[in-house]
Amino acid sequence: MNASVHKLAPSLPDDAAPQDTLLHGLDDFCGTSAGYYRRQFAAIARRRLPLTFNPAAFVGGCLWAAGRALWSLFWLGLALDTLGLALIGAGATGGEPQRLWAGALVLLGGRLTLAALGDHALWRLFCAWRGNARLAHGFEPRRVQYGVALALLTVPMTVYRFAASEPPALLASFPADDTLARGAAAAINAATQWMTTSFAPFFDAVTVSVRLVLDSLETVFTGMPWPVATLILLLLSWRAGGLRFVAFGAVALAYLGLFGFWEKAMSTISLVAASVFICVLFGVPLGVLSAKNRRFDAVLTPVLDIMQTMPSFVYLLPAIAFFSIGKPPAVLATVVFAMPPVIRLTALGLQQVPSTVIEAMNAFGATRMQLLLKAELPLAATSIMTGINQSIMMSLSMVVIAALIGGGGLGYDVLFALQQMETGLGVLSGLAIVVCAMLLDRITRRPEKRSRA
Amino acid sequence: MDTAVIENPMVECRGVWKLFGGNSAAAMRAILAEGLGKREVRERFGSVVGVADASFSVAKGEIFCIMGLSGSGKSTLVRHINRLIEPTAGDIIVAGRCINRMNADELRRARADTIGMVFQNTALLPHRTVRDNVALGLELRGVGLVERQRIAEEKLDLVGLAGWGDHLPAELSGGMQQRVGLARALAADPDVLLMDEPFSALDPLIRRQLQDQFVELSRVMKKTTLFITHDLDEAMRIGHRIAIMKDGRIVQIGTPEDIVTRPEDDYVARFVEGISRLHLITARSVMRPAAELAATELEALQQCPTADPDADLDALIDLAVQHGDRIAIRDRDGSILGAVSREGLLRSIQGAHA
Repeated sequence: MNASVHKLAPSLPDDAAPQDTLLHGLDDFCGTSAGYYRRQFAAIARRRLPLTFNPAAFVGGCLWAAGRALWSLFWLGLALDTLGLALIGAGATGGEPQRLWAGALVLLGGRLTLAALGDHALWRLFCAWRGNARLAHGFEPRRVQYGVALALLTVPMTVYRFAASEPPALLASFPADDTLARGAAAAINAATQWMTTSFAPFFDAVTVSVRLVLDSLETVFTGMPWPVATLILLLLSWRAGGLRFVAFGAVALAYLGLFGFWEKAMSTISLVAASVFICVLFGVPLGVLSAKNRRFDAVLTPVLDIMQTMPSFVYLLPAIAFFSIGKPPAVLATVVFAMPPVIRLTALGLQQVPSTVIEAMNAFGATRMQLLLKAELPLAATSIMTGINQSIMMSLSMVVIAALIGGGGLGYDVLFALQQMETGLGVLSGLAIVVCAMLLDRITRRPEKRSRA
Repeated sequence: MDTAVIENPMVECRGVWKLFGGNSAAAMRAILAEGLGKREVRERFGSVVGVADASFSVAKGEIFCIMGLSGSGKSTLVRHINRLIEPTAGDIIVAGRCINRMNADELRRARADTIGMVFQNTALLPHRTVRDNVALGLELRGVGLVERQRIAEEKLDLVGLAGWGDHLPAELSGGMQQRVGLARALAADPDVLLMDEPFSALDPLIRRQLQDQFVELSRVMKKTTLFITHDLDEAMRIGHRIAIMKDGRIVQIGTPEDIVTRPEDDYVARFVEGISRLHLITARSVMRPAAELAATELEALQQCPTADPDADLDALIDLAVQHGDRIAIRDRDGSILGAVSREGLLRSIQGAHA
């Protein structure tokens, strides 16, 4: 048609032959109005039509989109139509003309949007359909019927809800059944009660073993003279990241010491260490199982989701019921929150072991245990260490909550500041937790690769 | 298909089939009963034919190449030998024992002791030193630390990597890593070596060098080798016999000379079109044996350029062009086996192209 087109797309001159290959099967695809779409698509393919206006889409709105099987456009159109009608309804009954105008504007805007997007959306569907002829295409009255049914289900009720001066309660709020929730809560209470009494020996045993781990760690951390602890922590920083980390470690430890947080920081670190120890003890084997066994993984995944998203206050109550107040339930509540990353990253690490390495191990006659210990776990080590690192960070973020049920340590200071409205103390002890977190994070990073000549 | 009769073969496959996916058991029954084709099998049972009715035997000490393009089923076939892949039908016999009837424990022992494998992507353990990688098979078998390190060092020396034992695999070049893989396979002193395109990922110069090294090594160690390659030149260079695969089927088995001079079908013929025959005919078959030569002729030969009995026509032509018209063919110890004259050489070139 004009020269510029020829310059831009020399391979697509304006004659019919290349159009035939480009728009091959268009008649089958369109069903109706093939002539219109032949022109539009040819223009779109040449990027000559940034803005299109599809009259059918403007008139038919979401029902046109339904008939053409453009379901995203259908929902967009339906939502805008409903909004517009609801505004008009509210304006008409409430006597507010500006709402009426706004509604009309939304209606018009919605139709214009559909008219503008229609051809492009259909072009995309056409391109996809050419690769997969089983995709829905053409204009089908049956789909229009579905569209009408969906519109009838949503539009009248919504418009009525906003237009009616006093909408019926049934439409305004979900008809809740109070007895259902109360009954379920009571059942959970009873179950907790029953478990507390029936499994008392078990819970006691857990409490005792957790306390054993915690006490020995706490003895080590708080009992150690501070110069010794400082030396060890600085050496660990040096191993992990050289002098830069040592400098940071020195500043961090000086802060903890000079501001009087030393003892509490050590207590917090031993609580974190105890919970991370338990996380690794159970998390790594669970991660191995979930990597090896698809069914176990399917069961474990939702459990892990619950552990990570369930607000921790919710399980603090049963934790107290089962393990009473003190440090052991604080450790266990922390474990619930901090174990998922160890499990997930262990499983991920094992899944990422190259299949060729596994094949080679098998070809050399490895048993399953040898495969795990000599190839899979070493190759997953980086991933597992990341999981442990994450577990430490998440344990520290639970310190304040753990203090609520007697976890003590730095969390207690934050809690105390909160109760006494002491902003200064709150900021200082909060910073102490941050400092602990950064210190532990640096120490547990993978040591830098051994350099070789 | 395979005309050579081999007594006491080291490796033998009898009617091996492998179908992937779908209802492979029913598909297998239908194939044996009705002789279905590849497409029918996929349409009726949803199974893909990986290996179809493969039968061959490999003699002790032989290098048996399996040649085919990607997707021809050669890697699948060779993985049946150590049962990394279970056959759908057929028997695989290694060193007189039926691999596909072993229980898990016997299979593990066979893999550890009898069958070594080298992989295209080396599949070394990146966190272990080269020495510990080579010692892997022995370690899995429970050989003590001192003993297995001694053997590993020995095998590293064998593949020309002495002194590299303490490095990590990532610090070695591709060709060196592949030699570590070979040393690892040799460490357990297996009877059978499976080589799955070991040199394919290497650049041509290194590949040629490793091929020569491998041929030399295998001549000394007398390992029975199944060597997979997609490169006909490579197969011709190192294989005693070659099996050519297409679409899961073995189309021809024979010596390089057989394959070039008597291709079974058009597919093989098209494959070997570009192969120069000059490399396949050796001095041994064109020389006049020493017994037929007069004493004066033998005397004269002392001054002539010499060549190995395994030297190919190409090498002989080079010698003839550079040094004169007679070439003495000498054994490794230097004794004269025969002579090639310029006339004889020209005649044999003529024959090679006939």
